[in-house]
Order: sequence, then structure tokens, then C-alpha cells
Amino acid sequence: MIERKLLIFTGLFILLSSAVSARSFLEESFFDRFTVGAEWGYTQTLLQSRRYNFISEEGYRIYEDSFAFKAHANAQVLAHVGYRLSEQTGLAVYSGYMGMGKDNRLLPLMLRLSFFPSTDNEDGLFVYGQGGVAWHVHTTAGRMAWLGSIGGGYRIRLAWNTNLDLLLGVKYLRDHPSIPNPEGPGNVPEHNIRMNNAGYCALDVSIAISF
Amino acid sequence: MRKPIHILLLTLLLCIHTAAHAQQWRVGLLQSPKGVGVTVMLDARGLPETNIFSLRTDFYGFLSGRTKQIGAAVSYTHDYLLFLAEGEEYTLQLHLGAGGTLGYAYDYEKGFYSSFDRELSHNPGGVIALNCDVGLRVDFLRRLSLDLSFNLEPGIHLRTDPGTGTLLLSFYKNGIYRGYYPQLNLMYRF
Repeated sequence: MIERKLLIFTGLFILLSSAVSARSFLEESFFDRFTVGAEWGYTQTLLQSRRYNFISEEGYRIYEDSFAFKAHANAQVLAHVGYRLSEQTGLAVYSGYMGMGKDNRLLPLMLRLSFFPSTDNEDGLFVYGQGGVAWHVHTTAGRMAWLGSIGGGYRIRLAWNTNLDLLLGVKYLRDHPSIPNPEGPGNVPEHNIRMNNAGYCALDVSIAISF
Repeated sequence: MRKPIHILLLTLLLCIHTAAHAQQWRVGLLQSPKGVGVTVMLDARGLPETNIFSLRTDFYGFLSGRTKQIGAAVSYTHDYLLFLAEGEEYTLQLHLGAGGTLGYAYDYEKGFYSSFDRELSHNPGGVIALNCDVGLRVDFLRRLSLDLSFNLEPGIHLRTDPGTGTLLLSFYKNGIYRGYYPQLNLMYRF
């Protein structure tokens, strides 16, 4: 009961603080609220789950089900176009190039919602949540993947329209990757795959510049 | 035996200390698809010129999974200020210069991604190259600077043949092919 009251009070406080600072925000033109930027960083893949079911070259069925700690170093580079919904919140579309696990490279397209407890145009902490889809870059096998991440960061204001963000996030990717052929070179042909579900969990450390 | 090391360290500290007091300098992180590293920029006293030192890794073939080995490179350029614009919260400078690069890295090989026939087959080798760079630097009021630059590194690549061990000398193709790769320096200004 007390928790619910606390939640309502926090919600009202956020709404009230948004309303107080909304006056200067409303004076901005529609186009002033658009932001663009770039983000790049290191991705530490930590956990991987796999559930594969496919027909081997010799005709027998192989079933693989595993969940394990599997560290792999990856990276990502993203660009974004965003819109400031208020001085505290921003919505942006991100796309770019990212790696997740071994030999798994994707083109993601994500929607990110950021929340700045103070305002988005001054130094301070912020949190974000994002989700979207991703396509494999250099393989024809494998369908579209889904991904989502949550995280936070610290914003350093460089100039009136330029900010530097330092970010830390946790990312999850639900993937259908190509399966390496266990009996020889290359991958298992797509028509022999019955199931290729894989999940990756990773930690992102990034730097971003937005204008 | 330890004395020469002490003298060298003291000399190095003295040089850094003198440089820090004599002129404005910037130290920061270099980030590029070419590699990551550290950059030091020292402005020449009373002149619109900058000395740029950088030490970075070389990621050729590493980010695309064609090799697990990374290279390294050190470079120096002397840059001249071409254009200056000042705003309320920033100073924008366009600089152009030349110098040299020394390194140990892989050179260009056909292909882009890892697969069974696209792994790097040549050995990494020594790189000796000229370095011509052009960059745009923004100094913000709060002692942070951003520098976006591009550079060409025409030079030679010296490696051994993995089969015979023969020493091979060739033109360093990556010095030209990666000319369009941006380099971003995120620096603190002293």
C-alpha cells in the first residue's frame, strides 16, 4: 500500500517537474526538437543459449540444447535521429552495425526512449530502454532477429546543442543464426534446419555524441 | 644498471612538465575503425600550429573476424591551422598537416568478412609511411575537445612469407584504402 502511494507520488512529482520546465521547451520550434548523433562502443557478450534441430549431411537428426557462459568481444556503431518529447524524455530511431557472438554481425533498427531526471540539456544521469529488430549482414541463412536493451548513462553538456553521453547497458538478442556444419566446412543448408533459436546476453559500454 | 632508467624517466617527466607549462596541450582517446589509442596534441607557442602524436592499435581484419591478432602504430604530424571560427561556447579549427607513421600491422587482402576462404593469409609486418592528415577540431568551453580527422599513409610494408620465410617488401595499400575511415579524438585540454 505504501509502495503504491510512493509510486503515485513519484509519478506526480515527475509530471509536475515536467510541467514547470515545459514553458521554455514549448518556445522551441518543431525542428529545434530534432536531434541527430552517433554512438559507438564495446560489447561484451556474456551468455548464450542455443536450441538447434537440423538434419545432418548423412541424413540423421541433430538436436542441440545448451545454455552457457560464453564470453566474446564485439563492438557496435550506431547513428540516430531523435525527437525531444519533453525536456525530460526523448524518442529516437537507431540503426548501424553490431556484432553479437562469434561470426554474427547484424544491422539493427531500434527505437529508444530516454528519460533525463533533470533535463536533457545539462549534465546529469539518465536511463534508457530500447527495442527493435536486426538483420544478418553477410549470411543468407537465418531470419530476422529481435533485440532489446536497458541501461543508463551520464550526459555531459558540451555546448547548447551538443552533448556527450557515456553509456552502460545490458542487451539481449533473440536470434535465428546460421548453423556451422559439424561435419565439414560452411554452414548447414537452410532447408535442413528445423529449429535455430539462439539467445545472447551482453554488456554494452558506449560513447555517444548528439547534436 | 638502474641509473639510466631513472635518468630516462626523469627526463621524460621533465619534458612533459615543461610542455605542459609552455603551451596548451590536449590528451585524449582516439577512436576509429582503424583502431583505438591515445592522442596528444601540443600547440606550438605563439604560432597557429599543432604537433599531434598518437599511439593506436591496428584493427585490420580484427573487427571482421578475419584474424585474432591486432597490430599497433605510432604516428606524428605537424599541422597548420587553416581556418578558425569562434562561437559563444566553442572554437572551431580546421587543420592540415604531414608527418610519419611507424607500425606493425596486416596489409590489405581481398575480402571483407571471415569465412573459410577469407581469413588473412599473409603475415603482419612492419609499416613505414608518410602521414598526411586533415582534421576539424572543436574546443568546447569546459576544457573538452573533439577532433574529427582523416589521413592518408602512403608507405612500405615489410613482412615475411609464411611458407618460405622470405622477406617481402610491398607498397602499404591500407595506408590509402583506409583513407576514408574517420578518426575521432575525444580530448581533455590542459
